[in-house]
Amino acid sequence: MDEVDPLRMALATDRLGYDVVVLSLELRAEDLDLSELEWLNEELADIQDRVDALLLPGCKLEAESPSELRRAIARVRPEVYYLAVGGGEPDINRTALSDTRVDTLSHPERGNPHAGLGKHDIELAREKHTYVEIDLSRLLRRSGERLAWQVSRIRDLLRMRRRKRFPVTVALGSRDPLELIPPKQLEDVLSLIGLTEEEIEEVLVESPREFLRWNVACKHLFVVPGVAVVEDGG
Amino acid sequence: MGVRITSTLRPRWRYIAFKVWSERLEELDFDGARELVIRALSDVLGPVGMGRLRPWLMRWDEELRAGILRVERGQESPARAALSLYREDPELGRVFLEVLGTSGTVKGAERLLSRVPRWDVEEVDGRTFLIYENGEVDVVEDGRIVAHASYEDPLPD
Repeated sequence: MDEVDPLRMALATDRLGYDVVVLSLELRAEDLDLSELEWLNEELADIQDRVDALLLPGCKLEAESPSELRRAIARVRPEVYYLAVGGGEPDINRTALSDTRVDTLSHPERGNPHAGLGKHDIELAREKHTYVEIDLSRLLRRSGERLAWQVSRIRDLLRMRRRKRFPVTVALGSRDPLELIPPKQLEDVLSLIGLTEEEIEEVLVESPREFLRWNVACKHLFVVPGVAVVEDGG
Repeated sequence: MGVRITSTLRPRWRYIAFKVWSERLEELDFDGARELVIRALSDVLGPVGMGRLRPWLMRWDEELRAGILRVERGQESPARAALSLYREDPELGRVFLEVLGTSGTVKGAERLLSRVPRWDVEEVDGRTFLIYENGEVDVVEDGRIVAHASYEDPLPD
């Protein structure tokens, strides 16, 4: 979405039949500029009445150092309804999974010949209820041998999920209207990769609905589970 | 004279209505569309997978850039998935084969073609604008889409 204006993406997703659309900005944790998110929020408020779909602002953070990532999460979280972290590096994967303010860890397999998750990462995902996200744009931008390798990585993730039952979701990650897919075709793609009907329902409908509903309800008082909010008696 | 097949032995078909969106807006006739579909299916599913679908392009509307693809019953899902996963074409650049719907009859599939959004073409300062009925605007230069915009901001930087 970085190169296309939000109204165009909203109109295109509306035409394809989506009910809820998260329009996200991809930001680097090292040089974070919150004014970009403020701009996105204002744009979405302006265009909401022109489409039937519910539009929500989101952000995907890319980071090189875990400490910068933690700082950026704290600053970005109150601004958005959906916060993803671009994974790949083991320490970034682990930092994202261990932070309950993060909704999803996107493409943990980036740069790895496998799903990119180890035993401890899976335990963290289960414990903190951070979703592992299958980024379909990484599939749609590939062809031939690279497409085949990407499918194997996703199947590796599915194999682990079937054994350990950690939360998984799917995102389109489209940057322009030519990268979008109607929801029905999305189900077919997941089915071709090897997901069962129940898994498709779970990752495509139930998981996003669950965390978005939670985030909409808790938008302005985002509380990290385990931290008590106390009255200031002073 | 060909072999007569009783109705119980005859294959059953499903008809997929689809629309081609592409970066390059070259003319696409029936043969071009047929080759595009074959490239898409064989690229994603391989020759054996494509053979299982028994695909056949039934109709092609050059103006709408939309058509009807016949596949064997039960194979609609892999066919639709293969069309979705085909994103880069040597002739048309970046492509998106949008499935408009699936039907059991050709007539039903023809009705699905009406879902294709209509558009107007406007020329301003050597640039061509494709203005769709829902407010989407594509900016075209030298037969190639250079920007995806909307009616509010049709001239992005």
